[in-house]
Amino acid sequence: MLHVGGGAKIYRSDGCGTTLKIDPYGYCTIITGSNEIGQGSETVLAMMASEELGIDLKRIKVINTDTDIKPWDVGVHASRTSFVAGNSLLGAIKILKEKLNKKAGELLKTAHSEFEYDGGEIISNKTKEHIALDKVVREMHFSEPNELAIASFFYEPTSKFQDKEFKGNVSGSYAFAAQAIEVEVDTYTGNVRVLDIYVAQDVGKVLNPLLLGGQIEGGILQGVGYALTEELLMHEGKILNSNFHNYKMLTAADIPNIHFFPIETNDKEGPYGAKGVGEAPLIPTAAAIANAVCNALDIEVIDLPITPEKVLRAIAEKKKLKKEIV
Amino acid sequence: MNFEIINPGTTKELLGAVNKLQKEKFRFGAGCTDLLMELKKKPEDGLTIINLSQVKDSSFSGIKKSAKGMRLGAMFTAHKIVVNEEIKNAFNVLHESAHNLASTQIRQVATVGGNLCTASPSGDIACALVALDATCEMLSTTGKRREINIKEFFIGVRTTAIGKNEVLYGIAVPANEKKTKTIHSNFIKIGTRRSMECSVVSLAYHIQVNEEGVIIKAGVSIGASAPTVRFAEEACDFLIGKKFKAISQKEKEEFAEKVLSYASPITDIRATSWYRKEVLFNISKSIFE
Ligand SMILES: Cc1cc2nc3c(=O)[nH]c(=O)nc-3n(C[C@H](O)[C@H](O)[C@H](O)COP(=O)(O)OP(=O)(O)OC[C@H]3O[C@@H](n4cnc5c(N)ncnc54)[C@H](O)[C@@H]3O)c2cc1C
Repeated sequence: MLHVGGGAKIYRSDGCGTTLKIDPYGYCTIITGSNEIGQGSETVLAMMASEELGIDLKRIKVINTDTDIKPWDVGVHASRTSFVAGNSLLGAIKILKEKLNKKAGELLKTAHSEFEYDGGEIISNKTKEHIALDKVVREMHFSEPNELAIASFFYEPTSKFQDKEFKGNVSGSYAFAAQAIEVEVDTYTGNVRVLDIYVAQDVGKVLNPLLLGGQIEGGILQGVGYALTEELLMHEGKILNSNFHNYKMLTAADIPNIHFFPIETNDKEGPYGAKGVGEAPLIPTAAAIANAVCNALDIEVIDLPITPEKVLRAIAEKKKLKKEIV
Repeated sequence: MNFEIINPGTTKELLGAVNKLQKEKFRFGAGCTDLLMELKKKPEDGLTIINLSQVKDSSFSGIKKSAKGMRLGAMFTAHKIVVNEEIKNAFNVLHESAHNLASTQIRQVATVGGNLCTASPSGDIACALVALDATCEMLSTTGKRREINIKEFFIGVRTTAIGKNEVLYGIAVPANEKKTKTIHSNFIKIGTRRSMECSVVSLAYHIQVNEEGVIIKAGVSIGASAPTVRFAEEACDFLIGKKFKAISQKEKEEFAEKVLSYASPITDIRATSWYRKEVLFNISKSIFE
């Protein structure tokens, strides 16, 4: 399976903007265009800023809710958020660091410009002399030429629209995945029970293992629902199951054993080599389940979802066919 | 949704409230898990809800064991059934039906009485209680108690034998036979997911076997297959006197046919009538496999 892994050109811009500031007390605020929908984007962005600026996570705030102030972002989809918002944030950090480095150099009276950021300090790579980050920010602000520790950056991925033949390098990054699935089919009821799912996925550089696991497990359960239960029923243009009682999304009780084997790679376009991971786990699932059902009973159900009724009918038809042949 | 609400604290107050409202439109609310959904779909004007959950009366909300069997108050919750070891040991079908109902959260408030009085053909606890040959006990505003067998309790889809001046007070499950050695008791619920699922078809059975392995009492009922939960009497009679472990393939199928004869399922968005019948036949056979 191949899927976009961040920065897919579906709209004229797939970019994301960031405004970053550090206040005179060393607190950092990230105003990002990207949204938090439970995937953990806030955590990952704060982790990146902490890594780059040596500021404790507790002192970092991510603002992503107010469209009056946040810069452009196209939305949380196409497995793009860590990729584009991460790159955007790193771009803003780079600009801000140039300002901070300049001031730190002045204050430490050193001519070179290479610094490390750690434990709230800016440390000279060469001499190991250091100065508190918040102090540098204050000096920037309160001495001439007075300046704030603020930077803005807009990241636009290198991807291009598809051409007329739907070809082209449409995404900033691509994700690859394979799944092997074992199912048990109840021939009395037609129920397909997914037992084990083995997932191998190219996930780029892992930024946060726990959140990665969450994306994989959630994606897979959605994939299982897509394979077995989720269906919008229509009659004469009306939706018959417009509620989650009858539109059946699976619940935590239905989650199979998931065996996840992350394949860690280094994506040259992604922040720290990371890439999008969210959708890839749900794409191979239905096909693998359909193949497993076919393997178990030698029946083919090719329209989703593979409901118990379709399975039972396919079994009945196979029996009938056998009788006719005999 | 707009309604008045009355919160009686005792059974006397409850009966008083029912008496006072005889000429008005009123409904009982127990766990309200069915009631609220219904009122949301079809709001009624000028309605009063009599909230049963504040009534302090152990006969109404507790459980009592006697030589005759077990009596559950109508307000006994699905959760309380699930955690009750005695129910699990003696009447596993009841345990399983409650365990398969909705989700942990709903089970905390959903009551046995509500499950019966809703009279849904797919009521899970109702289906188990029919297989167990339970008795429904009503209390009227005059203070009189009236008992009827659960088979007579369900009249049609969402209609029961309760009178307007009555409340369902308790449900009595008869004790297992003295000669019973082994009990085959279970609830088979067919649906597509493992929780928050309304039965597409259900089968409840409680089969008692003596020391010689012979079936001496059998209760089999079906849910979501007819306008009401149904007791498959002929299928039960068919089993009496047979050795549980020695039931032949032919007998299994004969039994399943008899169960099926009580089913007149509809086709709806959950499944077709064909599927419901097919599955009911198969799971009926599976009892002996
Ligand atoms: C999300 C969800 C999932 C569900 N899943 C299942 C399921 O898997 N299986 C299943 O069987 N049901 C299910 N139900 C339905 C419901 O939860 C059960 O039927 C439950 O047992 C109803 O109990 P209650 O106490 O909430 O009833 P209520 O809603 O309070 O009452 C239901 C009806 O019974 C009447 N009533 C209640 N108590 C009495 C009494 N003592 N005397 C006279 N009339 C009374 C009320 O007036 C009302 O008409 C589900 C409901 C929801 C919302």
